[in-house]
Amino acid sequence: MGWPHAVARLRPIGGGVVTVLFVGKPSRGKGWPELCRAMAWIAQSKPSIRFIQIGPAPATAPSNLKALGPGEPSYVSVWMLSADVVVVPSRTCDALPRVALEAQARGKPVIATRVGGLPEIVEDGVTGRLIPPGDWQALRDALLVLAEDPALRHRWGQAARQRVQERFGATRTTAMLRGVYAGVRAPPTMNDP
Amino acid sequence: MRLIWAATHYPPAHMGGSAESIRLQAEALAQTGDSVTVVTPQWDRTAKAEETVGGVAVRRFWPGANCPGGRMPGEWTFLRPRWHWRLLRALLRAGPADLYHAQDRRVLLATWLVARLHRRPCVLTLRDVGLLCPIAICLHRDPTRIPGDCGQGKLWRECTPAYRPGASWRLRVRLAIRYAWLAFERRVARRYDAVTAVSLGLERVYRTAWRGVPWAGPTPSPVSDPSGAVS
Repeated sequence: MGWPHAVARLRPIGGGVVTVLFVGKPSRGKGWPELCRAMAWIAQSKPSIRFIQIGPAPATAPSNLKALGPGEPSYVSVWMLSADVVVVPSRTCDALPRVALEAQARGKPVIATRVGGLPEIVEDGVTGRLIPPGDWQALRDALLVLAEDPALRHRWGQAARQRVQERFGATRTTAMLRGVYAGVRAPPTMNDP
Repeated sequence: MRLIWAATHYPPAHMGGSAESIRLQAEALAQTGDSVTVVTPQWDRTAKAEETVGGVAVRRFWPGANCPGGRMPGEWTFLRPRWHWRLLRALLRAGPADLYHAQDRRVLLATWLVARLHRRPCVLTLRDVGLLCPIAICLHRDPTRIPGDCGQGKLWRECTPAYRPGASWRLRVRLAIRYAWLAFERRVARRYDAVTAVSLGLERVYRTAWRGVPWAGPTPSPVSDPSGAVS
């Protein structure tokens, strides 16, 4: 089955089912152990929340997780549009995760840890939720709050889309890079006075 | 302005966050009138050696290792002299530019050499903490800073056993060699005209452990068109 059909099958979620997306390697640095604990807890108490993982397959997976394997950007993009919430629970210094940026550009609220460049992408309580790294209970609580409130997801998603376009739009980032280029001067040559 | 960028990964090889970020930034600059040439390895032999995509000229060179299907080359690949030599040759072949930009730490040595040979300015962008330590396990405890006593001895005594309990001598030696090489690369990086990080958070981590660097402020990569692809 091709991915558009898979998404079409997933999309008529209805019934209050909430889809949470994680993109990346299931490693300690990416916060996979915390996410696993949160998923296992949620599987018991909130079966209406389901998880999708795109990336190398994890060794073990809770019952509410669907691991899709690695995917190309277009594939990730479609799943991102279909998701309700995106999680980036990194534990180490994630410089500027594209997943968080792109999810916000697609109007999705992001739950992320307060490490590296993530606080620059996600504004806590405005476009998503920032949690301490390694804290699976905070991750679980943030997921539960967002899962139960579609209006909040929509509001944060809209704010995220606007904020990310303002701060990470091509015009602004290109101007910042040009500013760096303008600030460096060629080293003196033999012909210079 | 004619720009030559050196990058370890560029799409379609190794689709990942940094490769996609570099592509988006290069195409954004090309669309606003700059001439951008990206020099990158031909990790997959099926990729074209030369092509123009989205207004960006891409020149691929054979790095001496075939990694098809998105398989990442091992870090040891980037310590071998042939990696630096082949990149240097490819950068020289790409011709002189107004400015050279090393897009990640693995290409910084050859890019700096070519820029100095042509007497042109050079800029380095850091995308991870890999220039500080090969494992950086300390960031698992405190993701905001590298400890002040970071060094070869600490790596040997504390960090390697924490990273891999019961680590073999072979692993310890390999990590020690990589750490020494990083120390050398940091010395080269200090000679760049400007060093940037993709986020302020990353720059702050570097500032805790690495002094005397010509920081030029963060240069985040642009977000893609929401109707398009994403990595």
